[in-house]
Amino acid sequence: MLKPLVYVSLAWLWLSLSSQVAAESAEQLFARYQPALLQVRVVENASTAKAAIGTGFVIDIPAKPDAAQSPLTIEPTATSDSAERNGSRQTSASSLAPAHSQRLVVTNYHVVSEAVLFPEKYQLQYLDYQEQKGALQVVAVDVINDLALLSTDYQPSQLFRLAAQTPVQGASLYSLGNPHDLGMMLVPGTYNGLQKSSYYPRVHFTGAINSGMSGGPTVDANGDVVGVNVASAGNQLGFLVPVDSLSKLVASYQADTQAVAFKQHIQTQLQNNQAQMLDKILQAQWQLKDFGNGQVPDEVVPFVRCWGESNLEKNKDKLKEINAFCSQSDEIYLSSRLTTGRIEMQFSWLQGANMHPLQFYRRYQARIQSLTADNQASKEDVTPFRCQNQVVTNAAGRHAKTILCVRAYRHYDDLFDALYLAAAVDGQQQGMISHYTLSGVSQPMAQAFLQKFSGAVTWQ
Amino acid sequence: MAIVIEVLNRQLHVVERHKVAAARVRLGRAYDNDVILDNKHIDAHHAELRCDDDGLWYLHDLQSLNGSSSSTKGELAAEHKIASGQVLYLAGQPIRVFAAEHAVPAAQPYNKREQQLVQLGRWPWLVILALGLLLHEVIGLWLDAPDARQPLWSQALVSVPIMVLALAIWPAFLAAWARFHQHEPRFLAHYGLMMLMVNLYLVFDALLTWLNFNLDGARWVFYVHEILQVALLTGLLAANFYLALQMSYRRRYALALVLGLLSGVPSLNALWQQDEHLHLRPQFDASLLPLSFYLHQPSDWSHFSQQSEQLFEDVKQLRRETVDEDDVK
Repeated sequence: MLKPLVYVSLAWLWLSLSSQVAAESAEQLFARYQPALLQVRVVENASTAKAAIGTGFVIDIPAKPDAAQSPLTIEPTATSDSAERNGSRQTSASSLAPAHSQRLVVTNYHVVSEAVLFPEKYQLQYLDYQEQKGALQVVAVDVINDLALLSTDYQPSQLFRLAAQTPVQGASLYSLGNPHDLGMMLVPGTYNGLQKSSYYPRVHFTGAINSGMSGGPTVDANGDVVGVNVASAGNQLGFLVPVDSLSKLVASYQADTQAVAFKQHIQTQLQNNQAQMLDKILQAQWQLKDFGNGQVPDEVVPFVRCWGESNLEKNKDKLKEINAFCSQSDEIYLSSRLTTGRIEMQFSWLQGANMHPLQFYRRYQARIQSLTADNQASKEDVTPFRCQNQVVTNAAGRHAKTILCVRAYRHYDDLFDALYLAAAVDGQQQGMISHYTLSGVSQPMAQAFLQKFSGAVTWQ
Repeated sequence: MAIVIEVLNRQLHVVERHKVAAARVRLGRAYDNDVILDNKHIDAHHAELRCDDDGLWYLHDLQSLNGSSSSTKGELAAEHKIASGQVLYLAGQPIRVFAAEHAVPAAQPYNKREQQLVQLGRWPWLVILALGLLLHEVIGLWLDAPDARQPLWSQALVSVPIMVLALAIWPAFLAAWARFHQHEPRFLAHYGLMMLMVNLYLVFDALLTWLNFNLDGARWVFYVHEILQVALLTGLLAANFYLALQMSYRRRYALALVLGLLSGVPSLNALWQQDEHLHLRPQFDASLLPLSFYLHQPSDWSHFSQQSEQLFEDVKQLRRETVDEDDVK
């Protein structure tokens, strides 16, 4: 009779103990790794004030052959001093990197982008847990995965290790960072696998990630880095760049023996990424779906997702319409003024059965009047749009007012934003609008997409 | 022996005209004068005009308080010989004196063009033109009728009287100007002209919209539209000034042309600004009409596709130009 009671008490005991263990380990984790956490600051030279902040963490990697004798190697005495001051139980020897290794600070590219693009205007600074400042220098960037590696003379008593294994879903993770400049914090959360629909690999971390934590590490219970904080969708939905992407960047940095300008690197990364992404889309067998009195592409690849709406059931408006919207909405951040990488498709079918053709076309025309790019860009980053518009007969003998607008990226070769819109003019009281925007694509890819897209949309 | 005395206002326009057949004409505020001048600065007996035996006229100031002069400044000698047509100032009050023999210019025939323009102010024309504007308004309402977001008919029609009043502002100004300068106001003629030009503009605008769709938004249609706007405004102003101003014809036309061209400056400026600053929004022609309004053969897809290559080349060229500019900086 007493058995259930015993089980319940045992379970309670186990739960309270285990939670105590977890709490302790979180505290330990924070205490142990705090020295390896830095606030990364982008400081404007003229005002000497910070223009942006983020979080960075220190790892070490085997030194590049030519960097073995670089000033980045470690002097043990200073480190052990600081470790003792903070009562760290870590021995200084265990945390020290061997002389043939190099220390790097990892953060997000978007944290340091201004300093990468405008080195004459901004410099990078770190602030350690003892409020000591020092200089940072960007050595490698990956704009696609939003990562940057920085060199530093900072010598922490502890370094972060990269996790070798992927956590299991539901595993406890701890995200570290300095949200809103409030101070270094530890945020507990859960590993929830890779984001399914995203083109770019992103770990879904269920926990509060806030601005300022960008670039901070998220660690497992052992303190090994499983991802780099990158974005938040609010309500405990955080996103991490998986550690694999960081490992790849470190590897490519080590393999890279020639000094190449960052802009060149960024350009190559953009071109390769966009070529791969568009190639996947172009090679895919596009699924078409019935739409109004025609057909349009559906979710052509898994990372392009579609939504739709219509007003067919509403009696108030004489103009009936069906709208569908598809996008690959993950952006690549290049600077505070320029984002790229989105792909968007939009379809509208309009019908005004009780309208005079002139009345219908007036509404129809209003629908195509404003066409805007869906990525952010300033006039320093892109050329003005140039457009062509014509009434065109397609292969099926149907007619559409067709508009194509293109602009080039000023600082990167052979990258364009392209907008396309076709409005069918065959019907007297019905119309079909098909529209896409591509950002950051090469000319051949843009033209191949133009052919494939225009061929895929049909109407009666 | 007779003399004509014109009492003038400050702008030297005639207020009164007196003809006196005497060798001596008394001027002043008192009622026993030959010409009574109603001006508080003029003495009761201010001055006299006297004719000598040779038929020459002299002005004698009768030691008045504020004096007499042949200009707004300075005083006359006690006796001043005057020429026919000369302006004199009695205590600052201008008068003009003519000998009865003074020659006048030949009679002018009625100006045919002027008469035609004035015809526009007749009621039948005004009604026709007003109906034209109303028709345009009604068509606009009809086109927007199925759109539930548009205001109701009754609400939209409130704008008609407002438009009627707004169109009357410029004609009213011209009429007031003419009245002030003692010409015929001709308000209705100006109003008729205004409505005619607005009607013409609306008709041309509709034609150009159709033309624009047919020519796939060719650039020259845009320029024609701008030029037409300037031309219509210049025409309106020329006709207005023809009726309202009394300067030489050449001056009237020149003034109309200058004002008309000035009105085109903002749109030229906007055109320039559009290229310079608003370039983050693509500029294209969005005019859309049913295919039956498209008179020539639509181009085929391969042509459009080929053109797109040229489009990319254009943008690349644009980029090269601006990158070069940056390098120069």
